Formats: sequence, C-alpha cells, structure tokens
Amino acid sequence: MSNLAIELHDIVKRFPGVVANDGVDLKVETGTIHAIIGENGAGKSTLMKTLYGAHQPDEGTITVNGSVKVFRSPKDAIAEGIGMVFQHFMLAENLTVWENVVLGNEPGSPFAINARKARQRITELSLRYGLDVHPDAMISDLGVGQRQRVEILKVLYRGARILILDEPTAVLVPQEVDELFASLRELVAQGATIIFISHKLLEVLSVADAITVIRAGKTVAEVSDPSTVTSRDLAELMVGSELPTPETTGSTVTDHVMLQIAGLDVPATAGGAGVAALAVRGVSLTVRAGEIVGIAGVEGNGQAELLEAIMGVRPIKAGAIGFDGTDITHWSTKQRRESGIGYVPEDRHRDGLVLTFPLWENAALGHQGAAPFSNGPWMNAAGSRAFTRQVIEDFDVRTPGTDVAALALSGGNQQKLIVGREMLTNPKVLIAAHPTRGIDVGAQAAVWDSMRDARAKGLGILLVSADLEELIGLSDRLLVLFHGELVAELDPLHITSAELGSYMTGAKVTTSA
Amino acid sequence: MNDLKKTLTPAFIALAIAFAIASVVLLVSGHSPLTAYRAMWKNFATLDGVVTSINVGARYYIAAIAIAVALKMNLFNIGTNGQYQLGAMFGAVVGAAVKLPAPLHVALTLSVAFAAGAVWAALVAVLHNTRNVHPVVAAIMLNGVASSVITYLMQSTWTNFKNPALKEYGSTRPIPRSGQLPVWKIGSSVLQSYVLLAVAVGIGFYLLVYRTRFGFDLRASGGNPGAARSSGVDPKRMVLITLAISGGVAGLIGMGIVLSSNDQLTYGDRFPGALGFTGIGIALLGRNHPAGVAAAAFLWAALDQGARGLVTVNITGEIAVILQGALLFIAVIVYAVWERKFLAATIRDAAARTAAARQEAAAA
Repeated sequence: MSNLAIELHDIVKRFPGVVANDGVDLKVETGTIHAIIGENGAGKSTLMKTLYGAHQPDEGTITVNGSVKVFRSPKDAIAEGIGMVFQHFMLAENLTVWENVVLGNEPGSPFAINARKARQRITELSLRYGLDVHPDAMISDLGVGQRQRVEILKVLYRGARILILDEPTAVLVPQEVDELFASLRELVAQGATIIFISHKLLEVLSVADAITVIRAGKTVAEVSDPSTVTSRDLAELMVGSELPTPETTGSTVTDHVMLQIAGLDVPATAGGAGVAALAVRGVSLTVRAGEIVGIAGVEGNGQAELLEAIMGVRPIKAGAIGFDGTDITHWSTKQRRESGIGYVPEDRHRDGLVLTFPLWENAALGHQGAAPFSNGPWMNAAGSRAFTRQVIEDFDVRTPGTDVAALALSGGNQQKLIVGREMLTNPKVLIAAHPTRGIDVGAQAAVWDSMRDARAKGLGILLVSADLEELIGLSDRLLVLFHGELVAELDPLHITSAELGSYMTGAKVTTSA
Repeated sequence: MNDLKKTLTPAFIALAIAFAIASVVLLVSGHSPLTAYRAMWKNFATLDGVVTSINVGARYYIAAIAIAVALKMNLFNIGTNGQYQLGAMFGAVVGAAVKLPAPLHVALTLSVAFAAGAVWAALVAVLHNTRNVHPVVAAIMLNGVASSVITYLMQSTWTNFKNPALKEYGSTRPIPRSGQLPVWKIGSSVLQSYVLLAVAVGIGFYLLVYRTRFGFDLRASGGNPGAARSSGVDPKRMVLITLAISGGVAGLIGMGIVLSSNDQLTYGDRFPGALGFTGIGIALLGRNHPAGVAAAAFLWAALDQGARGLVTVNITGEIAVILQGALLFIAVIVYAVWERKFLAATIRDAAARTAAARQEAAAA
C-alpha cells in the first residue's frame, strides 16, 4: 500500500452564498512532489488554507500520515509538520539570513538569542537539503532565488516535513527555476513531501510526480504519471476549453516611429545624481507603430528603471526620449500619460493600484485627466463606472461589481483590471511590464488578443516579461538587457526559450541583425 | 443603513470604554461617577450649554478639517497650531485696519487669515520638497517660530495698541461692526454665524476630496504614493497645494473668536492657544470624514461645556480631559481593530459574490 502524507477527503468549504470547495479529494504520497493546478478562483487557495489551518472545512476530513486531524490554526498545522511557503516573500531586508529564519522562533533565553545554535541549525538544514544560502548574508544582498530558499529554510527550521509552495516559480527566471527544482528534488529525496501550486504547466510536468487538477471547486483529474499527459491536456482539463498561444500572426510593423530612445543613462537610485551607479547604460531603441518590441532580461538588470525612466517617474542622467516625433525627455509623467503612453507597471501593488479605492476609481488611475473619467475639475463617477464595466466584461475581471475595493480581488483579476484600463483607453504606445503575470490561462488569451488587435491598429508596445514564451510569441523584435545594457537584438522567429535564457544570463553575447 | 451602523458602532464602543475608564478614575479618587456625569449633563443640557457647544464645536470642526485634508494624503500637518494663530493675528490686524462695506470687509479679513495660514503651511512643503525635511519636524519647528513671530509683531508698534489692562503684548484693536460676522440671539444665548462658515468648510472639504480630480489625486497619493506617481501625479506639487489648503483652513480656526461680537473681537493675550492640537484629536475621532468629524467636534465641545459644571459638585474639571484623552486613545485602537475586521469581511464577501456569479454563469 502506498504511504500517504496527506489525504484530503471530500472537502467542502462554503462561504456565504457559494461553495468554494465542493468535494475536493487530494492524495499526496510521502516523498513526492505533488502539483495542484487550476485557474484563478478554482479553489486552490481555499483548499491550501484548509490544509494549512487558516480556516476549517465545513465537511470532509484531513488525514496526515494516517491519522485524522483538525487544524484550528496554522500553529496546529505546523505542529503536524505542515509548512507553507507563500508567493510573496516575508523577509526583513535589514536582517541576515539566520535572523530571518529564526524570527519568531528564536533559540536561547528571552534576553539573548543563541546565534551559534541558530547558525549551526541553519547550516545543517541547508547542507542537508542542498539549499545553498550563507546564514550571515544580508537579505538585501540576495537575489530572488536565494530569498526563496530562505523562505523554504524558515519553514524547514520550524520542523515542517510537508511543504506547500504557492506559485514558487512566478518570480524566477528559467535558471533559477532549475535551481529551485533541484532543491525540491533534494528535499523529496530526504523524505520531505512537497505540494506545489502553479499555473505553469510545462514546469509542473517537468517536476511533479503526480498532479491534481481542480476546476470550479472540484477535483476534475488526478494524474499519477505525468509522463502520460501533455501540457495541452492539462490546460484543457483546467479551463475546459482550448489552450491559447501567444503567437502573433503576420507583421503589422510600419515605418512610423512611435517611441525613440537614444543613449539613455538612468541612475540606480531615484534622485541620485552623479555618483550613483547606473542601472541603465546607453540604451537606444525604437518602437514603431504596429510593433511589439520585447525586452528580455533577468529581473534586476535595469528593466524596471528603463520603464520608469520612459514614464518620467524616475529621473534620467543622460539621453533623450522621443514620442511620435516630439522630444518628451523633459515632460512630466502626467504629460506623457495624457499624450497617449499607456503603462502597465511591473509591481501592480506598488505602482498600479490604490488597493483601498473601488475598482471604478482604480480604472481612472492614470487617466483621471480625461473623459470619461473626469469632466473639467470634477471626477465623473458614472463615466468611470461605465468604463470599468467594459473592462470587467472585455477582460473577464472576476468581481461582484465596480464598487468593491481593489484589495478584494485576487492578484490575477487586479492585473486584468490594469491591463484592461490601459488597453481600453486607446494608447499610442504601451509600456508594459509582465502584462499577464498571475493571470490564468483563459484570461491570458484575452490580454494577448487585445494586444495583438491594438498592434494591428498601430499601437507600439514595449514589452518586458519574465514569461519567455510570451516574449518570444508576441514580440516582433527582441532586445536583451544585461547589467543595464542592451547586449543583443534577436529575431523571435528563430530563437528558443533556452537560447534566450543564455543571452539573458550573459552566457552568450552577440549582436545579430 | 448598514454602512451607517458599521461606521457608528466602533465610535460608540470607544465612547463606552472611555466613560468606563473615566469612571474608574473618579471612583479611585473617591467620587461618584454618577454624580459627576449628572453634573456634566446638567451644565450641557441647557440652551446656553448647547449653543456654546455649537459655537465652540464649529472652531473645533474647522481645526479638524484642516488636519483631515492633509491626512487624506497621509500628510500630518501638526503645524496647524502655529498656522491658526498667525491667521487670527493677521486677520485681526487687517480687519481692524480697513474700512469696507460689510460683506467685503468680512471676506477680506477671512482671506487674509486663510492666506497667512496657507503661506505658513506652504513653508513646510517648501522645506520638505527642496531640503527633504520631514513635514512633521518642519511643522513643529515652525510652530515655535510662529509664536516668536507673533510675540515680536504684537510687541512692535505697527500692529496694535497696547492694552493697558494687560501686561504682556496686549491685543489688537477690536474689529469694527462692518467687519464682524453676524450673530443671532436665541433667548439669552448667542449663536455665531461662524457656524455657517464651518458648514461651508465641511461641504467644501467633501466636494474637494471626494468629487474633484484634485481630490482624487490627493486620495490616490495618500492611498499609494507609487501608483499616484505612475498615474501622473506630481508628488511635490501635491504636497505643496495640500499643505497650503490645510494651512489656509487652519487660518480660519480662530476667526469665530476674532469676528463675533459676543466673543473677543481681537487677537491678544486671552486668545486660546491650542485649538490646532485639539483639531488633531477630533480629526482622528471623526475618522477624517466630514460628518464624523462634525459629530466628534460637537461631542468634544459638549464635554468641555459639561466639564465646567463639575465644579458645582467639587470635582476637578480635568476629569473631562481624561475622558477626552481616553476616548481618543481607545477610539484609535477600536477603529484599527474594526477596520481589520471590516477588511477581512470585504474580501470574503467579494470572493463569495464573485464565485456565486460564476456558478450562476456556469449554470446558465
């Protein structure tokens, strides 16, 4: 008989007026990587919260290592060896790795932390599970991949043997994903069990030992041997329809230059003049009407700074920015936005939304100076609401209405709102960072379609994305940003994700075309 | 209806706890809370008590709105205390010096008071924008500078005559009749038309903050500075304008005292010196909402009024200050707890309604 670490049987979780989980079954064998896939809102989070003790199921049982358990709080779950690694890291930047790991669980007396013991334990754990992080490194010095390993260490340190990872690869580049997967395999080899939540089907197929597909609160498929299915099969199980592809059809590129950037130098710290290191060095590029120019690069190589400089949010040190034949180098952000530059910022929570505002006010954000959002000095609530309803419909934003606060929506739906408001305000140029980040497969298609349609009508798009398939599929041209410089221009028709990945890490530096 | 209940419940919870705390203090000091509260109520629940509470409440209201405007963008204008005194002094000096037909005279005086407060608050913004001085630090420092400036100007010859009855810097000349705000006699009490100014400020606040593009930018800057910036809001300009408005409104705080014939009609020694700080507490208590702040301002003034009755039962009036302090302290805690509870409920509710809509769509 197989050895089950977790068995969820017939879990039902009701919220007022709705059933979020409607009889979900999940069987996870000890020492395996078990993937759970499903669209946003399919009930994955509800299920994981049940398992993690954040709430109690209305019906059904949770069996851990053969005995039925009731979790009243996450504490109970941790006591049973179940730990959760969240998608958004919760680390104190100004503390070291070991300090973060022990935070809230410090060894020693109430007056003195036994640092030696903590370091020892952490070193032991990281050696044992192949999680290569130095206990004395500062979190602020670590890259995204290493930070994630610290998060995993935190959970292991608390004695977890069953780890739940919520979309762990969302923030990683391919090389980091490989490292993460190697760590996960090591963990499993040492007897740990991993539950892995993801949208990325290819990754799921490459790493999971078994897959459970959830749709509309129900388990729709259990795949015990992933080698028997394709990603297309999984996607169809997930959405119950066909998988969209990001490929653009035919070129619509014109001669008309919409965005021209020449010799752009951008300092790394905002406001820093002179001495500050440059985050973007000597970048020149053009985006023509009807063209999508993709920028590939490992996160932190200057993409964020480049886009912020184009939007006028970040001061530049040298260079010029032209828009539709006009020099806009010294324009304010407001002028740039009002003249028709749309912006999908990299971090939706930091730059894209006011979470406490209702959706209709968020839909006006960035366009508050124009109809239908305002009328002279007055805001036009009715106009904004009508626009918001259009966005909700066209981009399948799942929300009870236009008046709920943005914070009540899931991340994917917030993203759809942002992309929708930018696309439906008919920009001439769109500066888009990770437009489909966190959006599920079905809605991705809508975003891609709208971008393709707008491109055909003459929109120029500068696209930054960590999703290499998206980048290759949508772009007419690909530029690679490495350490703040453009190191390669590539033809997306003749490149694979793997090749692009090696350009991005600086392994390959040739400028073709 | 439901929303109103949601808003009022925490306020009443805070009020109940605050009264409980004050009762304990009274009991410990050997007094009967019942006696004390009865005396307070008796002093408040008369025509004069209520009218006085409204007059005083009006200035508290304006003081709190001055704070609330800035707080809407997470700016803490702790400098209203200096701003209102400068406003009152310049208003009083100019109001006493000019001869104009009544409505113009009043309008000019109020404009001067507004401008003086606005300029003083704008200094905070300039220091912040150009020298990166924290607004709270700059404003506190400028409060100190303001009182020195006032002392200097009040002692110099160009502003005023010295009131021979008073030792320090005396006071300005009284405002002539054409420069006064009308007052209404109600029995033996006098209601100041300054109350209408407070109402106008409240309506103006509401329209500006919730209905205009400027207010949208203001609230966006407060809600998420990064997103506001990306949307085209210039943060420096926003800080400057918002602080100027806040300071301008603060400039009006003392004008009921300066311009009402049943009040001082001058700026001088007897002028109240901490209305700006009182406004901070009332803004917090009223949650920066025009209606909430109105209720809080009236409550505060009523407690003041009631406190004056305590002397009749040999209890020190400071018990009302304890009550006000406890109320503020508890309110902040209760509101925070309530907010969190409400937030979680909002998210749950939205998720549930979304899922319900989907299931309906799937069924159709």
